[in-house]
Parts: sequence; structure tokens; C-alpha cells
Amino acid sequence: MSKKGIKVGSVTYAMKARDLLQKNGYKAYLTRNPHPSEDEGCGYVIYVMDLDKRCFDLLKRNNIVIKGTVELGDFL
Amino acid sequence: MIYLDNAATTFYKPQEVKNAVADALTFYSANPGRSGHDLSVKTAEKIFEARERINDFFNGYGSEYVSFTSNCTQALNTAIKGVLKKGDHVVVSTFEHNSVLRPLYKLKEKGMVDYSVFQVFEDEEKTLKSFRNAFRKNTKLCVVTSVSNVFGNILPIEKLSRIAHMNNALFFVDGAQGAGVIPVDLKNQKIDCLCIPGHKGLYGPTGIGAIIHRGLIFDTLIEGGTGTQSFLQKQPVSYPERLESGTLNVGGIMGMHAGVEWVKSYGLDNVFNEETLLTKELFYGLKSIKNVKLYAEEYNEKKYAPLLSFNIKGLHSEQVAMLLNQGGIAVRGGFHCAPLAHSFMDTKQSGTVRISPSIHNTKKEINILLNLVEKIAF
Repeated sequence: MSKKGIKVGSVTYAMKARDLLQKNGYKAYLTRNPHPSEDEGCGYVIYVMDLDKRCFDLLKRNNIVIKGTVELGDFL
Repeated sequence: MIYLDNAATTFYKPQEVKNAVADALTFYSANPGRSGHDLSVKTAEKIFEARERINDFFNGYGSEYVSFTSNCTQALNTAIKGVLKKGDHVVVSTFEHNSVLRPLYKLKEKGMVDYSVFQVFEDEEKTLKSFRNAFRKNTKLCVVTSVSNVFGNILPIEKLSRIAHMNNALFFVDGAQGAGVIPVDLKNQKIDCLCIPGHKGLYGPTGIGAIIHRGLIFDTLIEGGTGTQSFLQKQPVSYPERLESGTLNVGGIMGMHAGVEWVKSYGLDNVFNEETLLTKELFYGLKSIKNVKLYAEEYNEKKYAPLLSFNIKGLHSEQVAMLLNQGGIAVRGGFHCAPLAHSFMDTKQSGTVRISPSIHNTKKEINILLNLVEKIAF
């Protein structure tokens, strides 16, 4: 099963995003981006079990900038 | 020693603050926001928690807009220099500290900006009138202290911010003396940016402060590693990291957070009321001593935070402070890095002796001080 992480950038936004998702009933965890590109640089991602569209909407509504998703694979 | 110099820094620090700093050195010594290992993330959690709680305490616009600095002076420099451009005008009060005045003076010397000073009176309407009259068409920014660090005047922040915004100017507050003593509320008082130290009214350690804002775009004073966007040559735009290059002072941040929690649990009202009781007692005690000069007719707790200045006829304030030190009492004499305050209150020759109690001081200590002042003034 695909394990996708939501890329959010800094650890501060990652923790905000995680807390927000957890408050809304999602199981969300913070980890490093295992595949940072030269453009985005280092950063943190949120792995959400049962990730769905509502997660993205929730984060956007709360001004958390989503920088994309990344396949976490065996890194998680 | 009887310590009555809490406006310089609070002493004694609560055990919770000491524990937090010790914990930082023992358990949270990894570098937050840089690595993915458990120790780094654990430390980052503590920093994040501190941001959230400090944001809540000051009713800010989000923890991402709480950036830590080395002290309030650095926060003010960051804020002031971060928004001003050539040709801008700034309005400041006559009670501002050099941490506001010197950055502006430097910018003025370089031909970048100009500034005007408004006066602060016991009569609030006179203060507001002086403030309104200070504005020009190109006024970009107002920087105002919440409390005078020399005379204790509480400035009418909400009313000043309303006037500033009506004139399309930003409104920044130097919360050095107000934070942890009087309510400071970004959203309700419409403060665009608040700069605070951790080590005064918040009872945290020295070497830590914060800049708390509503999402303004600041040009940066310091650029460097932020743990994000490593290949970007420019400083990243997102907060809080934009204003936090380099490794954070984890011990300072955890200590500051512990101080905020301590003040919350003690109760801001209780802090103010207890310190005010001591200061009021001091005021009227000093008023009854011959040759002592005070700088208000009466003590009004609605207009004054719990700190005051006095002088003894025939002595420089530094001499009085030295004599009090010999008598085992710690106070500050001199000019308190607030030159305009002394010009305005006509204390340029002598400076003032400043007394600033904390909740750790007692009535007995105030009486000891009064007895010693009476001996000196005789």
C-alpha cells in the first residue's frame, strides 16, 4: 500500500499540520522528507494514515502551505 | 541583598524556569528543525510548544509568527529595520528606550528615515493629541513602549494603535516592561508587532526574546541557515524561520516558556496587584521623606505599572544607588538608556533612582528601603 507524506516545509508547519490533523481525528505523524529535491531543500512531511482529500482541504483552510506529496515507502 | 531592580531583569527566577533550562541541557540538546532523528524532533517539539503557548499568552496570530531572538533589543532592531524604507517617517514616544531610538537614529543619520517624538502626559487626552500631531503624510510606522522603564507610565496602547491605523501606519510595541505585568494582547489591542524579552516580567533567563507579529513581511537583518530550502540563495520567506537563522537558544526558549506558564498560573492580575501594592506603599513612604523628589502627585495604578523613580536633593542618582547598595539594597541609578524620558521630565542632570519590585519582594523590604532613604536624605 502506498505511503504518501504531505510536504509542508519547516518543522514548525509540520507540527502545526500534524496537531491540526490529529485534532480532527486523523492519525498523523511527522518525519523528514526522504527525497528532497534541490528546489525544495530539506524539510518535513506528515504521514497520514487513511490520507484523503479532506486532509488537504483542512490544511489549506488553516493556511498551511502544501508543497506536494512524497512517497515514503520503506522510510516510514 | 534586597533586590529591587526587576525592571533590569527579574531575580529570583521560579524553580520551574530553572528546571526547564536544566532539562534543555540534559534532555533537549539536539538541534531542533535540522534533522529527522528522534532527539532532534523531541527538541523541536519543545520549541513548537513554546511558540504555541507564547502566541496564546499574547493572543497572537499564530505560532508561526513567533520568532525567537536573543533579547528584546534584537527583536526591535529586526522589526524596525525590517519594515522601513528610504523616505519613511516614524513616530515614537518620549519614553522610548535606546533599543528603539538608536536604530532610528542610525537610519536617520544615513538619510534613510526621519522620526518625530510625541509626549506622554498624565492627562491621556493631551497624550493622544500630541500623538496625532506627530503624524506626517509619509508616516510608515509608530513604535511605542507599553510601559516607561524609568517612570512607569502605562501608555494607552489601544487608543494609540487606532490612531496609527487611521493614519495608515504600522503600530509596533516595545513590550520590555509590560510583558508579564499588564495585559498585552495583539489581536484586541490591534498591535502589528510586539517585541518582548524573556527575562523581565516573564521571569525567564537572559539571552532570549521574541518578535511576535501578524504576518508582516520583514526584510531580514541576519541571513543564514534555517534548516529549510538549502539551495535557495535568498533567505526563505516563510516564518518563523525567516527571522531565526542559526541554532536556536533551546535553553532560553524553554526557560521563557516556563516563565510564561509560571506567570499564567500565578495570575497576571495577581502579579500586577501585588507589585502595585508594594510600589504604592513605597510611593507614599517616599513622599513623606524630606528632600525626596517624586515624579507624580499621586500614585494611580490605572496609569502606572509597578516601578517608580525618585531623587534625593543634592545627590546624583548614581550616588544614591551606591549608598543603597552599601546598605544591601539593589536598585538602578542613572539614565536607564532612555535619554528622551530624562529630557522630558527634567532629570538630565541627576538621572533617577529606579525601584522596581517583583512578587518576591515584601512589605518589610520596602520599609527597610524607606528607612535607609530617610537616613540618606537627612
